[in-house]
Amino acid sequence: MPVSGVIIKCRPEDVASVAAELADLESLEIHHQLQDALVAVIDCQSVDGELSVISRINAVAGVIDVRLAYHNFEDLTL
Amino acid sequence: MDLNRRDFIKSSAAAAALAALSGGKIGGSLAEAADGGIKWGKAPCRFCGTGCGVLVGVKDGRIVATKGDPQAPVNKGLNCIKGYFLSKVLNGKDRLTKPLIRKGDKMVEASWDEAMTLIASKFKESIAKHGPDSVAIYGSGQWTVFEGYAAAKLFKGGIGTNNIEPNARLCMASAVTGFMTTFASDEPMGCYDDLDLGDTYFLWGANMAECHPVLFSRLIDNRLKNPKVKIIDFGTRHTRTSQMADKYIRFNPQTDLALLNAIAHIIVRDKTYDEEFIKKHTVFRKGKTNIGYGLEDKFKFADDPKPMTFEEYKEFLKPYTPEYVAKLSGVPAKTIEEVARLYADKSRKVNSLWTMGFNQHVRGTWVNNLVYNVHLLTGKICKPGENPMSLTGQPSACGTAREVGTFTHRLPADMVVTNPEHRAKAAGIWGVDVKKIPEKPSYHATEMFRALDRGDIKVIWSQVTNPFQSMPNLNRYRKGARKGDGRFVIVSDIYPTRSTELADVVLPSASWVEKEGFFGNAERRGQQWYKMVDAPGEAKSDLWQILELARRLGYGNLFPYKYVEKEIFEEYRKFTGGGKDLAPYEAYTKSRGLRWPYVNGKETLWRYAEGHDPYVKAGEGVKFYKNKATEGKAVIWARPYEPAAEVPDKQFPFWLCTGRVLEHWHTGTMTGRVPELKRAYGAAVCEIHPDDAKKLGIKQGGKVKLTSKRGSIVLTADLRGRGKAEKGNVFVAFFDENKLINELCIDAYCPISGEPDFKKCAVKLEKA
Repeated sequence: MPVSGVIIKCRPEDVASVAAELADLESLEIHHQLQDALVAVIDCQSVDGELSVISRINAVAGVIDVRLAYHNFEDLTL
Repeated sequence: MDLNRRDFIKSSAAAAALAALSGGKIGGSLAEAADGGIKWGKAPCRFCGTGCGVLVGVKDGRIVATKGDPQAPVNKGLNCIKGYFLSKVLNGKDRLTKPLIRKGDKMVEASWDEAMTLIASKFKESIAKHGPDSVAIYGSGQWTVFEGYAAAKLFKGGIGTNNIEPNARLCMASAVTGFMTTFASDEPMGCYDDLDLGDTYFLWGANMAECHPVLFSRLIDNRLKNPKVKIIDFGTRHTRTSQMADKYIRFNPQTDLALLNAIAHIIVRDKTYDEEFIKKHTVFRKGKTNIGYGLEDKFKFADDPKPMTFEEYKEFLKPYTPEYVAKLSGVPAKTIEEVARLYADKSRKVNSLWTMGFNQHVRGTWVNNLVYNVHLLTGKICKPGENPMSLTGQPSACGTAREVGTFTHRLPADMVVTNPEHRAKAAGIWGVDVKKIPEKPSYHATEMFRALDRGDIKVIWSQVTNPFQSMPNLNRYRKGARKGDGRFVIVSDIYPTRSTELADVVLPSASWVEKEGFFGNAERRGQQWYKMVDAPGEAKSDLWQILELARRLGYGNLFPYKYVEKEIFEEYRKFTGGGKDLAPYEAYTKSRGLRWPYVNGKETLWRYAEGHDPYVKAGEGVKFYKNKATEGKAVIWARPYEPAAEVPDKQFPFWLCTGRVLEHWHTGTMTGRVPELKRAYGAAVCEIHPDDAKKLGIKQGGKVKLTSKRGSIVLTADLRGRGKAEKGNVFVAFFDENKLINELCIDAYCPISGEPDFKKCAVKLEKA
């Protein structure tokens, strides 16, 4: 299962609402909530799945952008 | 993956993100503890000219993970979305693994010996029959520094031809000639620190949010911290960048020339220029006008610079009133005034950023000159947080193509073949007879492929690029490659492409961390990496291939290296003193890159600036010391507005612009391999304004036929995509190997730089 760590950048006034909106998004776990960002982990069946989650995050009001910090795909057969 | 391991990995993922956010203060050791069994190595990203640091994780001979390198000053632990696919792009099922030789209609597997024997014989035959100028190599801004250097040395110092060109002719040539004519030295004076330190950013025809995402993130972060920061997006199409900017200014294609002159006009009119700076650090020049478009084969142009006074320059600017330019450009006069005011605002640290909108332009050199003019008139240059910054597209168009000089007219370190002193220096370092290096440039990229079509070039070798998808007026050049009559095309790549399909020999190459490498990014930062995994099958590095040809042609003595990469680098370094100084190889292996000039153990962040650039003496303030002819002054050029090569008319009423989108790199040979990316942004579409679509009876998702004088294509219409076309304009990305949009593009080029204009030609649209 590929796993990635992402940073979801928001304006300080939007962080809470973005976190709330993303709280029940499948395959996404929010690990840390900071002043202007969320640290989240995406855990999916495929890289395709990860990309869909990214698209979903980007569509949430208040999200400035999503940045990738870490990507592990050691059990992905290619 | 068992649950324990999965939890460890998820901790790693979160920790890495935290580390990136905190600049390495939190999380680093947590991440390392959880990794178990993964060996991490550093490398710059394979994709764009930003040059993000990536840590590549290898386990059991396979790449199993990547992460943004938290120690990399460029990106501090972040990657953009293409970072997801860095290793997957190497692992597509159809990776080339064996040499292929064309036999009739089929490509037949062959051994390396067979393939190289054939290639060498074709080179020898052609050189003997038709001379050294009948053979050529077309390389790349994605070549490593070692590869570019070896190719230049072999062709110019061994074979004795200037027939070497990089695909960077198609992306950065105008930026280069802009630098050379204004400053007498290539490459920016500023660096990425300017993105954090400035407060005013003018983006000109550059979709940074999609094409330099991590750099754009730095601008956004700056703006989040500092409410004074303004990002102004000048574009001919509304993009994600426009959406994120404080102001989007739409202008008619080509009128960037007039707009920049109007801004200068206002600055002169209102006397908001820096008189002292102009006096101390600039001279004025004018060149030829009505300079043509390069549409005829063997088109030649030589400028004729003449000195000008400041008063004469002011006269030149007189016609560029806000009212006149408003009519021409579609930008309201009030907006032009506001922009000029911002540019000249002494309380603001102003930066201009640009890429292909300025460079892929039939007056690309001129428009680069004109943006420098504004910064030179106001003295807003060579200061931390305040610079004009030419952004580079490819990962090593700077480091390899431009700095090593893999162009027909070039030698390393800004030197040119036309200068006898430069040829002598090169010959000395290369250990060849100076008479070997030809003194006349031969063909730039477009002319090279025209020469192949005509048969003046017989043998051409393409490496790390895809010309038979990316050349403008593509049909002519695709046909030219297969005309036979002694023509022989060799293509080295990692996947089958629209170029390998036209080749007589296809060679399988190693890619990125499958070989030791060195790239130079857009802020003069050279970055080295070691080989981390083996290339598949029998694939070999392009460097090995060049050296193998050299040996077989009898020029092995030019490459007597044991540790090839390091020795090539140290030899190349000999060229770079006096302002382009590179550090010793070890320094790069140990660091996250270094910005040249590197002198006495220190990088240079801001060139030409006292206190930052070691070549500027105390008391000089600013000195453009590479411009010996003007005694260290920059040139303010009087360059007029001239129209595009092909303008919409009754028959072809739309402007066609081409370019990139976030998910795909260039011609999609690497990113097209990833099914996920293909799904995110699958086939190329035609961005069209809803009003235009309505008039033509075209609906969202419907089919539209685009036709230019050169070709025709049917695409799916996109009326509400991430990029939104303006009225009278359409945009198509060039990544799709099944939708060769470049067949419609015109092979008109800037007469000074030779760079084609991929942004402007005329098309008609019909419902299909």
